[in-house]
Amino acid sequence: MASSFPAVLAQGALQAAVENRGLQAVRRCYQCRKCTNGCPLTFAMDLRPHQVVRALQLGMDQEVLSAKTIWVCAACQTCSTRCPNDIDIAHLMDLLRQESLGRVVPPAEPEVVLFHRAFLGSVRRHGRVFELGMLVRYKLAALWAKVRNGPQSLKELTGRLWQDARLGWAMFRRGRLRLWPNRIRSKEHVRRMGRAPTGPLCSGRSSGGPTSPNLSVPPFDNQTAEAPTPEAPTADPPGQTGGPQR
Amino acid sequence: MIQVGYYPGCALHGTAAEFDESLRAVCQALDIALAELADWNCCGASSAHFLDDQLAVELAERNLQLAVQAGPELLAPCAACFHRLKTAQKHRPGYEVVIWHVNEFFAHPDRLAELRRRVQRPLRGLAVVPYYGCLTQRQPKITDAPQPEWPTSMDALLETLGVQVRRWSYKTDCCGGSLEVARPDLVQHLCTRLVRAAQEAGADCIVTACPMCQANLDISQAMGSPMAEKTALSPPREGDKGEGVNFPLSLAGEDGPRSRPAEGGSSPLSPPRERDKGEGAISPLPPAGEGGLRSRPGEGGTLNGHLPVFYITELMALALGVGRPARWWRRHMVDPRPLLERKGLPTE
Repeated sequence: MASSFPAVLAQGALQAAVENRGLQAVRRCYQCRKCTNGCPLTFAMDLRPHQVVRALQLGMDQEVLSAKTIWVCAACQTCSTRCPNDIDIAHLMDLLRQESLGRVVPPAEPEVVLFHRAFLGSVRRHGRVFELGMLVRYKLAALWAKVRNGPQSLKELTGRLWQDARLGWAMFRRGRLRLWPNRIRSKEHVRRMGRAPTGPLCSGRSSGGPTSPNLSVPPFDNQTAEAPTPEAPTADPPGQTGGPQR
Repeated sequence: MIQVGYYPGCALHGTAAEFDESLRAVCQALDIALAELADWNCCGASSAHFLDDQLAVELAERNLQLAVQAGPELLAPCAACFHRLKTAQKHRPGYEVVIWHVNEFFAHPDRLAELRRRVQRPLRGLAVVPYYGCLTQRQPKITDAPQPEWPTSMDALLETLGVQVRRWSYKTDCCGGSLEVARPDLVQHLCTRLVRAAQEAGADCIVTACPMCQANLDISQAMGSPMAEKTALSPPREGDKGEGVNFPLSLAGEDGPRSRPAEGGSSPLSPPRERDKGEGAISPLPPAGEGGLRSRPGEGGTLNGHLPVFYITELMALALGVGRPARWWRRHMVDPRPLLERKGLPTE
């Protein structure tokens, strides 16, 4: 998988980027594997957590950014809690996700990205999450990505839809889904927050669109010149790389 | 009567309304006034920190500003909200407000004594496992949890209510969290493991204080088998039932971190994909009466071997005899009423 994309990074650039964003500790890893042994999701990962750290140290940036690992991590924080070297691995995964979206690396789990974009889109639109709207938007985007991805059997697509409809109805019947969003008064305040636009899901529809990049506040922490560069592409490519291109 | 700031979070106004209602009922019974923050916004949950660090802190920070105005204490019952608010507080020091999660809030000695005094209907006969989940505990640097690997606050609460607390080692294991939407197969796998462990511990139900845990455990059981069949990474294998943790044995020894030189263009760090598929086998919960579990065929009734998943506040309200539990039970995916009836507890 990794070999099918041209290398876009110099060796070790990723580690530098991560260290610039406050995670100097990655140097300290001595591969005790405590993170991997505690991780509940290794069964779905291609690189194990300790391997991600090692690959980072070795400058294997492409492998790290195109790994499933960073997207199937559930952020349960077990690794960070147990690391004897006090490396915040869960936060490292956050940074790697963000770095991967900022570069020309298609995410290994596009649906996870689409979901989080839909979630944040809903937060920007209403100030709070409107679950039903968010889920519908996510499902449509994921379905569209699937269709564009290549030939899909009709049976599989209808199977997915049927399954979603079944769950949706079961939740609706029990009153677990609100039908209307719960909006806050200071939506504008919320829309000005953060630094990344929320992506394709929202940009197409909501009138205000995702926050215009001009309004976004200066980068998080004191990032060096390294970090803003990946941000420029963040504005668009994730929109396209969110799945369809693969 | 004490007053506490209240940050319900999106879930308690939506998918987890019964958590909100039962919490309010319990607080009213214990003379605690909840002052909901005016015009609070979403804390960003897991999505914000996945995609944008800055947004994650800023979303939570606005709520901290509101909380400081509301008073010295803030109750954030949703585990994800609690975690995000605590994180923001650590990142942006200066917000003098004590952020409480439900378990620790009620397990505070004063409130626990008050609770003990007011319990009207001890829930004897109900065997439960307390499920704390991840975000109320980890990481301790953020949550200030005294015992992140073996928390006991909910145990104390449950014992006060008179229930039988069963010992299990999955108190703080992950349910999959927000992966539920994009990768339900993974959540199904993790939740199946949890439910089996709870059954093996002899529990009648699981008790949690996190809307995401409740939803994942509840939905994965109710939608169980068909969902697992369709989304499984590979079909369940023979002899895979009831084994609990199905961890790759080779993890400890083979595909080591010592980087071998790359061969044939493939990454030395990538383990063979084939094996991952085999190990990721997701097996659906066996129907009642099958498999090596305590499926309790005689007792199962309409529960079909599934365990209801309660919010801690629902059981507290039940023991205190307050609120309108009938409305809450209706919202559960795994209907808890047959269990309550069997234990001689009111369902209305």
